[in-house]
Amino acid sequence: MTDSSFPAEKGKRLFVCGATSAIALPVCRRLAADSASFFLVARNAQRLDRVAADLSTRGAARVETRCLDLTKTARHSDLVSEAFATFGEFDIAFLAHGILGDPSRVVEDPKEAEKVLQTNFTSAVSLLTLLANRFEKQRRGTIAVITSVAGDRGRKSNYVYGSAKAGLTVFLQGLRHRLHSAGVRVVAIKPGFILTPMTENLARKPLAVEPKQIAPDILRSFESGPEEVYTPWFWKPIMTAIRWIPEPLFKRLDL
Amino acid sequence: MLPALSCRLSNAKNEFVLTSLESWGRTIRSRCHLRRLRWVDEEWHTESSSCLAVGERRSYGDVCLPREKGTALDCRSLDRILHFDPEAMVLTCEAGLRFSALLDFLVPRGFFPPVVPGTKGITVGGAVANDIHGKNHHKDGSFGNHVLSLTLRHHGRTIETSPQTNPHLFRATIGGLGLTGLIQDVTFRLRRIPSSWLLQEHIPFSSLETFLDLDRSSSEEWPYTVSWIDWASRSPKLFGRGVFIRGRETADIPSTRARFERAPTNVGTIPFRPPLRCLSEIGLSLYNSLTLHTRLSSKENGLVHFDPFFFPLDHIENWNLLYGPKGFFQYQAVFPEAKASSALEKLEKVLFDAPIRSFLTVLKRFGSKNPTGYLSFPRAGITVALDFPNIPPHTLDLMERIDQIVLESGGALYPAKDARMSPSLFRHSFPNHSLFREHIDPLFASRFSDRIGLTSP
Repeated sequence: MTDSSFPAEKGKRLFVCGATSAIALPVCRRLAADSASFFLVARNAQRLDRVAADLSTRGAARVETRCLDLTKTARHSDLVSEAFATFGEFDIAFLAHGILGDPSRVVEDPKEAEKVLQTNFTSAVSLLTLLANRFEKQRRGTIAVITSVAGDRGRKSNYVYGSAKAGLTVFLQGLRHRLHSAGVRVVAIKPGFILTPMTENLARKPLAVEPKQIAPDILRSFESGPEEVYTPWFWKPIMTAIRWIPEPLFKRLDL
Repeated sequence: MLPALSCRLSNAKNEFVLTSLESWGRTIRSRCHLRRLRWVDEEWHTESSSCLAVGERRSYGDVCLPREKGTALDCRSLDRILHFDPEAMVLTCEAGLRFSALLDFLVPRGFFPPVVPGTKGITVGGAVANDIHGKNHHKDGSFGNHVLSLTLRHHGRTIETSPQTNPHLFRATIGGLGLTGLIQDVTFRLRRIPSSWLLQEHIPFSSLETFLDLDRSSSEEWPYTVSWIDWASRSPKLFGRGVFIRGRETADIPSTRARFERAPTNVGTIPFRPPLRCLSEIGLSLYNSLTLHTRLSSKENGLVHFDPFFFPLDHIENWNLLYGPKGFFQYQAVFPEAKASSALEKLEKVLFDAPIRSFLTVLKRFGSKNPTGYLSFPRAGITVALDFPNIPPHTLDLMERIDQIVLESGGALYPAKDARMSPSLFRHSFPNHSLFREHIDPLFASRFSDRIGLTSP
């Protein structure tokens, strides 16, 4: 159902949550160069303005911004309505918000654990449900979400974050199943170790890459190919191997 | 087993790992904390007493190295372009934007940075902090001459500076080697280009005299000039010959060429750190003869893309590794107009008698445009840049002898290239150093500023 009363803008129309995230930026920049239009959502107004300015100067046809803490799920309905009222429909909804949580507290403090689940899982589920209803109606487009390889197997170093991302990945599987008949792609992007503020304070950064190195994989996943994407690619065999380690052995490993 | 996945978390949020940083010449290293800034409004917590904003660290010596145990604020993620006004020909960006990315943005739109150095691997912040110059200095001055305003984090506050607002701080920050604070945003004027192509001419010369004549006759009509001189040969016949290179922008391009062609992205890298110096004197003289030969062949004259014209060394990303683990020194001086030819003659003699050779020597005339910064290096005269492999003790001895020529002529050394100038030579080179000193943000210091006495460790 394409509503022709809305002006057809040149380039793709994107709804981006976590627009100030390091992973979202190179992806958005690439699309901005192709005259995409953006509805950007992030928490920090000043930073959001800088990203919006950057995308505009780099060629974005239109950039709208909304400053919102996405853990406030009660505001999601208004947010999505407003976004669709502004742009008519979206080609891509890209969810890139997330937190790792304070690693020293998250394993002992249930409040901190809850915060991690809220940001990474609950808020995403709420948004995705609202977005799914819209995309199901427009019968086209891509919903792409950043999850993580950490969701493939629980490890002592980040299992709270990992469980939120695992839940999100399963949620996306179901959503993909639901929206398949509507012709909507539902993509779960599983980055490995990326050099972002989230990983800044980790002592070891194995096989780490810059966000812009995974941007091509993400951009490709918007269009075609598998709807569960490991990036960089080598995380797929690594995580397959890790999932195959028998639990009695795994729990003795220092991972 | 599976080391790839072991990612232990550090407990303290502000715990930074000590990293050994080296600059382009690889003669100085600093063990320091590395903190990557992603937003200009970010608060950085540092347990160390001093910090320094750094970008690509392409300065040869120690202006880009923080104090031992200090903090390097890596600004390369501050790369957002905030405003572009094609009518007014003005651009505002964050200071960590790399020139290569700036060119990717500007060239397809028909614009160019006002001044570019010999590499596109530097950041805009670095261009400001070193008040860089390029092949067009004789016409357009240095980068600082085109900066309209700067946003600076100075004494913990965000301050706007321009020739009108906080003009002294503005003048201190341009060429200020990052010591006045963190440069956040830079607004500067652009130049319009008719295409991404230039018309280039190579003219051989056999002596300094002919170089100076060529230079005088070219500077009006050719906005870009530079010379390469062979001060490496041991044969008196070959020593001192060179090539004068001049270029100008052109719209007259064959229809087979795209008007705004982007720079080639495929660059070579040296995949490991050679344990030995790969550049020998024999190899060098071969290279110089070859260069001279190819440069003078007709193929090199005529239409050329801006990339090989402005950035000939960028084709190998990390060519600095070729000088081996001991690294190399670059020595760039400027001799004031009146004393230039006599100083160059003295220099030529010293270099001919020297036990070591400069592998790459570049001559260029600076124009008379007054620089903006208190510590700006460019000034009317002739500048010479020399590359010396680090061969103790000869290299340092030789450079000390050249210092004398610089001092006698009333010239100056370029901090961005320096790893060893003395405090007194610095003061002679930059008579405005005491004006500058008042604007130093005490949180900021570099190995250079400690060494030449602008700050005390």
